[in-house]
Amino acid sequence: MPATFDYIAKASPSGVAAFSFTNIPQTYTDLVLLISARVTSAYDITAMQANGNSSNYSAVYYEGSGNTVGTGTAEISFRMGYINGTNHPNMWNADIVHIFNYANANVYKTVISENRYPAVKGSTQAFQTQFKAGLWKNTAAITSLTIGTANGGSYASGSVYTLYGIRKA
Amino acid sequence: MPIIGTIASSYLQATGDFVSLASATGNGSSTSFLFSNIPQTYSHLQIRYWGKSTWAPGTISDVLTVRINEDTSQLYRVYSVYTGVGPSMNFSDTGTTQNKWGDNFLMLASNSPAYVGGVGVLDIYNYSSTTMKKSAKFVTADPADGYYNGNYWNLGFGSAQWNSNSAITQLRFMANGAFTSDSYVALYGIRT
Repeated sequence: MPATFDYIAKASPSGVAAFSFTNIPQTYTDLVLLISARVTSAYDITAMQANGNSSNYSAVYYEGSGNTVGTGTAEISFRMGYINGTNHPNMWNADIVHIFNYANANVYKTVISENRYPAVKGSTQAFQTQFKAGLWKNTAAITSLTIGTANGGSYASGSVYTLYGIRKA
Repeated sequence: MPIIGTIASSYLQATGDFVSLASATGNGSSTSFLFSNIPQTYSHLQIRYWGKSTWAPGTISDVLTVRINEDTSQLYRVYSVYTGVGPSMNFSDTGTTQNKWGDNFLMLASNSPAYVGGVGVLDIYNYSSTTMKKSAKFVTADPADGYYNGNYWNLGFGSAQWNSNSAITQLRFMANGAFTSDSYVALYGIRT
């Protein structure tokens, strides 16, 4: 049996606001997305849509700067963590996103995102640690993920999104 | 590997540094999964799950509790931060009288609404050590509760301790109701 944490694909967006992973294999149990990114604007937020669908997402989140808690309903995407930008020169956010049971056509899809949004030392801008969970109220198997910036900012060169598959025994 | 009342895989020969050791899938009647004879050749364990039970309390979610080596002594403790109705942020310390990891730990959906499940990732460090107390961390979420409470649903993260130096050779996962057929608990070994 091969290793069960497999690399699927990598995207290196630069100068664009969105990109897609398509034809995602349906042979894994969970997907894991690792993110190291920046935008050329002040900051932005990672947003993700499954199968190009723009409805029936909801979320709950915790932001570690100020202990903010919030929820969202009827959203158009999974909204995940902040993306570093010009507010913090040469700082890159570090995220891991877990997508559970993604190929199961009997269940709604749930995502947990852990986001670190580091701040430059001495900056008055917040250093954020965020935990977010999102639900896509759709039973379709996830075959593609469109990922982009919620506020329309462009990715800076060097941004990397890497998609992995995890298969249970 | 005995998995009581579930459709489960056995331990498989594998190569690599992140290896699937075993998994259990619900069958609509079993309320417990037992992973026994856990190999002692890895550095850490990771458990990943999607879980829904048939428990029908009406307005609250189920919980996924964990017992180690079938030990029922009061050696378990969980520290967690979790969201609640409001929304609100809450902190919990279960104290020193717990006989399993349970309260404010891994979230599991109950029978309603349909299609939703609790999810989570639990990492247990140095599980095979016989000289170290065992520590774990987790993230978890459950969309179900939100349907009852104004679309607020739950997210939590935290740490857990089992105050024992014994190597972990068994893990039992329990729910108040039976695990549905879409539910799974998957055990992975991590080498360093």
